[in-house]
Amino acid sequence: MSGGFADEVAIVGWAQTEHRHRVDETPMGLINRVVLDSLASCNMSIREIEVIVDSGSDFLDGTATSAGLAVDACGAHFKSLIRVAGDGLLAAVYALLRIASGVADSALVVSYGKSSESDIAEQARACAEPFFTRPMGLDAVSAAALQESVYLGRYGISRDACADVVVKNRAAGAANPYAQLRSQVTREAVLASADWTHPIRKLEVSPASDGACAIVMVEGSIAERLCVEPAWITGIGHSMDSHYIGSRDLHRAVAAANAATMAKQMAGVEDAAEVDAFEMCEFFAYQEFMFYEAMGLCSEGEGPGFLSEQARSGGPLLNASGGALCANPLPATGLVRLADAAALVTGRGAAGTGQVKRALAIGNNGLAMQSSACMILESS
Amino acid sequence: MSETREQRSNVRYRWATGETVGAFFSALRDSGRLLGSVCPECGVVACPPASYCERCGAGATELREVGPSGVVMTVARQCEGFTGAPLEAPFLYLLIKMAGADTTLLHVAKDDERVIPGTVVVPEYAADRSGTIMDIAYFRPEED
Amino acid sequence: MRPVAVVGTGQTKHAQRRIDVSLPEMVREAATAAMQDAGVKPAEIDAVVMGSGPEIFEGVNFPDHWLGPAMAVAGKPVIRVETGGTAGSTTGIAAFHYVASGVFDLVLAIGYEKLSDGDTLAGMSRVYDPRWDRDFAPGAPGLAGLQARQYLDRHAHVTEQHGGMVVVKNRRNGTLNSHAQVRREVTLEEVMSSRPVAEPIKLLDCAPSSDGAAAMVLSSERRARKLCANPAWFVGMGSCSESTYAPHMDIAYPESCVRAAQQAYQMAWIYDPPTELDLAEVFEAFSFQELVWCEALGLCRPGEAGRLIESGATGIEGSIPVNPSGGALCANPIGACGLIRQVEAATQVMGRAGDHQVPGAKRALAHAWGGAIQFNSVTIFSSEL
Repeated sequence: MSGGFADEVAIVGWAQTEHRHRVDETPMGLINRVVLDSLASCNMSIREIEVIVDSGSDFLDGTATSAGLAVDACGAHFKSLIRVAGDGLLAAVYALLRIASGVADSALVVSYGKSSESDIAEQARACAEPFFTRPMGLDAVSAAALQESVYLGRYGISRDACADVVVKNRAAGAANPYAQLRSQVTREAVLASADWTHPIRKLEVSPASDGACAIVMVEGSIAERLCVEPAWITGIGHSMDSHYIGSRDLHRAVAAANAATMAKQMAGVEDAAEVDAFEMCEFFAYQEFMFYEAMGLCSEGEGPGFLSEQARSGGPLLNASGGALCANPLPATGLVRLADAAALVTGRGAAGTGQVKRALAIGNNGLAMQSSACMILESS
Repeated sequence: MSETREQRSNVRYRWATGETVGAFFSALRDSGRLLGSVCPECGVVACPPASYCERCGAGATELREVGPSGVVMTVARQCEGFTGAPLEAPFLYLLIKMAGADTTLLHVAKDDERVIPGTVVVPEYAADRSGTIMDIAYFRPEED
Repeated sequence: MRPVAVVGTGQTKHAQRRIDVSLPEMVREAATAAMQDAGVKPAEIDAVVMGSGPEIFEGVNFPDHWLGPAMAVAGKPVIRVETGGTAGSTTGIAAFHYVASGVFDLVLAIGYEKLSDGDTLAGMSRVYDPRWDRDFAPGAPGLAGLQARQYLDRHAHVTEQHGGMVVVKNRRNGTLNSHAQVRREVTLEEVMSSRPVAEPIKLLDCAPSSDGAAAMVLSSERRARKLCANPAWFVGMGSCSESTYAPHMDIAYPESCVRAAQQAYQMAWIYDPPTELDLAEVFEAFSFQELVWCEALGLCRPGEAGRLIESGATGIEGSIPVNPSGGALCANPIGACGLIRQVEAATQVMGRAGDHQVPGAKRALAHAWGGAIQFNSVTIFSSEL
């Protein structure tokens, strides 16, 4: 690899819907709303946008080439639309590369999730190769349960530690107007919640949300012209671990670690402590610990200890948005985290979050964190 | 008023296995043997086998018998049943390191407190074997 | 803009059913061939960009999770793009962006389709918008039949026979292409008397249903100069999407195709395509489409495609060969089709097209379309920067 990208690219506008369990609106309606709102947030018009990158999955939509249906909603008529079949943050990474290549100077990244319209357990099962995994009926929760089991066993961690992540994120979500879950929970309530797939408890599982998000990304000189505080993209990365669950090193979030390392290297971040805020896609509580370790905030197996230390002495913002545990519009969740990170870096977040110098957003896709994308943002 | 319109997807698939996976299923069906593949470059023995190494990208053609017993490395307990589940719930998902293999095999066991990391397990074969991974109905503790 | 070149290509032997291999083995076949052609090892590839048709065709959600590790060393960046039938050429274009960004030096672009793993018709029916019901075009002749009928009705000098001539030409070219699935010539009489499918489309006007994959290795300038004596440089690119529901959408002369071509020509400084291009590889899922694309791509004026093919200009020895590979009419793994057009175009300017080489080819165009003929993309390769 050659290293960084020369051109400066910034996120200048974004919008997300309120994420809810079931929205009585078509995906097209959701997309259209965030497209219009994100453009309005930076005083741009759809006419100025050259490229639209959307993310989604035909399976989740129950249609084939569902990108075709998004064309109108995204305003992609006579523009270049490309769908990234993956998480929304990966779509944003591709959009960045597109602008950095010099072929386009603006891009709209759109992602949406409409879990209420499909059987999400079945969608997750369908990710797995058909010969050895699918006949077992392994889904997102059981795959994650196996990973959590490996993680806890390797480092001698009690599964009760996960409750601390839930309590923290649910408290943060209560203050996030877009979050689906906006009520706090106590540690006792988490520990008392029934097992979903042991060792995962029900309150440790992210909800299935309907929602959409859009982000406006532009080349540097346009960002300067727009008179809004831009969130400069300084690093990107993404990675895919092996597929068959039995052949992977499940005690580490390998893809997340590779993605974060790549992004940090590009951004010139030597120590994760140089980042002020982290927005992560923790579909299950234990994954947040694995993200801390993958991003280099602490050593392997030290995730729970790191969280306890932060609670005592303060430190970076860790899912100040409430994370996926409060809103999970798969596969848009990563883009939502990116929007939340952009808000933190530009001081346009929810009241009380202030402004940070540098934020990192990290995504998650596939069974047991097989795939991940990462982006680092900085204020001017 | 917003309503919903339902459609169930009922698309049938017949995935070609290729020779390596085909050989694994034949051996399992015909003689109850488990095969692994050997990566010529990194030496890893993978069960289930593949004609390529997921770690280093090399092609793998050598097959080698592994098992029949294995050591449980990880357990997750599935509490609720679902259509098409391999066993009646509650049941256990296992990652098993078969004797002679370096990777683990995903399979299932009946709900049993004795099945924990370290337990030695052996396959319990299905009455009728048709050349799928479910020719092993589940794994059970060796001592049974 | 940073220069980017194709330094190696590979294709599977396209066939109606590749039941001898699993899907990951099939994509690996093309990937390995491309990497060998480029002289690079898997560990040297910085990222993999893959594309295929709708996931429902093979029945795996996020198939890059299963397939990426079959080609890439574990942990590398892998991304899948999907935009209907153009998936294959948006793959190549996305891979271009990966290298042109300056972040990645060597990128593998791979397109595939394994229709035999699934039930294509059922998959096709899923393209219906569940609320409004719309037809899906690639492979489904309904919309293509409408397109052909509109096109023929509009132009007095183009007839059904001209569609048949496209089949005769491409089938002849297919006999020169070792990767092609269909390698048997046909006569005009055989085409014209073949069973009607969707008037005016007849059976022999249709591309076959195929399993196959194609791959290419893209490189930054620095690496390209070391790896390859005659790389194929990306000199022009365009992609344009059109609203599915626009009542004024002109499928006989699609605006999105015209615009995509204009973008590519502008980038490549091409003012007179028929003279400045040495060949074009276009996605003709149905014979008449080749005539439509010749016009929309500016290879001739609207209404003149009949005369163009009659004159022999688009034959392999003509002044502007179209589909010297035999086109989709000889091999049609849907999600790979666009990439195959790019692979063929690149291979031509690299001088590696074997028996179907257009002598002295220096500039080649590749085109693909997708969805309800609403996504179009154009790529132009040159032997010189």
